[in-house]
Amino acid sequence: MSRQAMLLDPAIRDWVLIPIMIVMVLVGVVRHQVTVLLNGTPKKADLKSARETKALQRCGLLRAHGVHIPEQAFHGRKAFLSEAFEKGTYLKEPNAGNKPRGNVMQDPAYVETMMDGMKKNMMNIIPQTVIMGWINFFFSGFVLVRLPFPLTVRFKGMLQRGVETHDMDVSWVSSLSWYFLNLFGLQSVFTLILGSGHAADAMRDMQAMSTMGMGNAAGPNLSATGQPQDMHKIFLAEKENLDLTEHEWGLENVETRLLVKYGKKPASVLLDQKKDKIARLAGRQGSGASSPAAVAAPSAAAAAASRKKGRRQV
Amino acid sequence: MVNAAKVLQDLRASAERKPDVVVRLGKPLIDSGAVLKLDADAWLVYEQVAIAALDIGDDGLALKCIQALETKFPGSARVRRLQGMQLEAVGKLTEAGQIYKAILEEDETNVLASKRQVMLLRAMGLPSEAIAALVKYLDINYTDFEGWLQLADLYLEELMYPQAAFCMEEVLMLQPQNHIFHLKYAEILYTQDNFQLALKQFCRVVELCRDHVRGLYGMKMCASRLLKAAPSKDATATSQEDLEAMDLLATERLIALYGAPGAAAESSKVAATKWIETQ
Amino acid sequence: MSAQINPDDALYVDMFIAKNAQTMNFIRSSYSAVLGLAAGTLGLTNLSGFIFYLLGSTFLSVLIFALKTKGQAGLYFRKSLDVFTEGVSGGLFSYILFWTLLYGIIHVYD
Repeated sequence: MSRQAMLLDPAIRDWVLIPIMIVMVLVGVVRHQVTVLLNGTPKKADLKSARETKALQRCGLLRAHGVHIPEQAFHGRKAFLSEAFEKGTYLKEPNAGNKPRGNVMQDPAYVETMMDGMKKNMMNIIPQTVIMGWINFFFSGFVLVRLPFPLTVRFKGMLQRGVETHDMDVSWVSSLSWYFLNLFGLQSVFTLILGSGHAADAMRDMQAMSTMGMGNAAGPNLSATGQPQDMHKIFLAEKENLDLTEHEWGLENVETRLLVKYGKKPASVLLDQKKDKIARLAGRQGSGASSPAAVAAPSAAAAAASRKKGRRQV
Repeated sequence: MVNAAKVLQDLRASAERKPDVVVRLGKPLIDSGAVLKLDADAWLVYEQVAIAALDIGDDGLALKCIQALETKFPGSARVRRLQGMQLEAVGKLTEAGQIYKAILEEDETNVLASKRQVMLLRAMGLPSEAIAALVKYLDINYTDFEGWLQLADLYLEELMYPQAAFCMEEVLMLQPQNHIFHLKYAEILYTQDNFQLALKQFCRVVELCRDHVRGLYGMKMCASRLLKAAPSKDATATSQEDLEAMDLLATERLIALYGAPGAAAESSKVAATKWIETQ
Repeated sequence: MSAQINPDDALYVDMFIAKNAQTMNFIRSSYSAVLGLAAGTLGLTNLSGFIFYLLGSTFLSVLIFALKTKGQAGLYFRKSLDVFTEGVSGGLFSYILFWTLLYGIIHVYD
């Protein structure tokens, strides 16, 4: 790679390169504080909507952690939640399912969540647009610094935004690109400044910050400007998820696991069991899908299953 | 002084309830006024010490903390709940109930007040009302595993084992890694004569916490019961061979655990060995 | 330990795993900023800069592995290897920023 010799005025360093960075750090800190301020008064949730969301959570937990409870317990809960979701027992207004929705703007709760979302989005967008405008207005076309490593020509558009020079080496960085470099790279600085002592809070904030650049491009999150969610539909979707969930009990082979743990049985027993199980599952699926000749097997299995159920109830 | 504040903070973070420690550390902080140097944390310390003082029956200290909080945050639901707890501590249950009710009328989602209300009913000796209130609470605050535990206890007191087992299943889903909860569930199952399931749960206890004595005892009891009963034809049941192996394993571990030098008093060692032999 | 056979993920508490990952990210991002400053001051360019980053972060991983987890990273992370991979790519941005900054200030503007 031929190194292009180009002299940059030290004044650019003192009055553009470093100031941009400092401004971005300060804006980040201010943004953090303002976010804290805006979130200072948590919204009072009413009982029914809390119940609505908790029901969904409950279903998710059952699907994720159902392994820990025995089969009958799982099926009992599954049946209960399925039915409750179908009927809409957990809905804010259980009977409003079929009623056409009125004008959503008249629903104060909806307007409030929308305002909240907009406030948050504003907090993302305003500082970034202001800084970008500032850089564009004063420093457009400035070449600030050179990357210490070469890049392919593809990066030219990204790194030399605002500089229309065709044969300049790709590793030179324009002012606007320096801004983007900062946007992504300043995470560690924020972690250090805002994160001391309150690592958890700062990390959560960091996540918000790290997405702030990309968030604008990807569009605001759904709840902010999206349609009001029809909880009944969500419940029905969740019910379908639940219906598809097969119960697999984590304690099925716990005795063997324990015996292996205490060295009473070789560890290979567990692997054998696993293989057996996979073979059994594969066999069941295969026979179910194949020709009518194999019909006898699944029906026998079903009969066995029903017999098993019968015994359980006794 | 800094150390005391740090210890108190750690206790708050881990939600441990060690009233004696909290009062011992917190009382000098509050009496000397040094607590105010902690800025925003000061009020958390006041709250923490107030509850701890109520726990160990130091009413004067509790009142002092609550009054300080009251002047700082007049009308706050959190402070009023502390006042309610103070009334409960001195036995004025109806007054306390009125406070909780007033809080809930303003904000029906107030978790602290609804929890206190349940415990108040329990303290008043109205278990079925307490159960009803707790069920209502858990229908909304589903993820509160401590609530489920409390409900399980209430059901156990009423000898309603299937319901208690249900509560413990919920706890297991919320806190699957805690072996104590598995143990409790296993013991409920055992009481219900469901030895097959109980055995698996006891195994889980020992799997999660190696050489857990109570889990081993449970394993042994289930295994010997199942061995005595007619062999089950259920395919999912533990095989006879496994049962014998489990029985042997539990016996072996128990003898080893009691046999370890200094592990147990001589008398309990003898009692344990005798028990194991009779099984 | 039966870690490799036991399919039971419940042995790990999600909350603690997340906390550990957070701590790792905190350490990594601060460390990579410092590493970037060093690389820029030394005037490393091209591949040598990236090799420097890889070596530096491996060194950090080994330190954490040996001193903080006392060789048993499996107790703190789902996979022992996570100690070496967690947050490495996230720290790269900070590294590049500070590397470029110092390199620019010292070696481009003379």
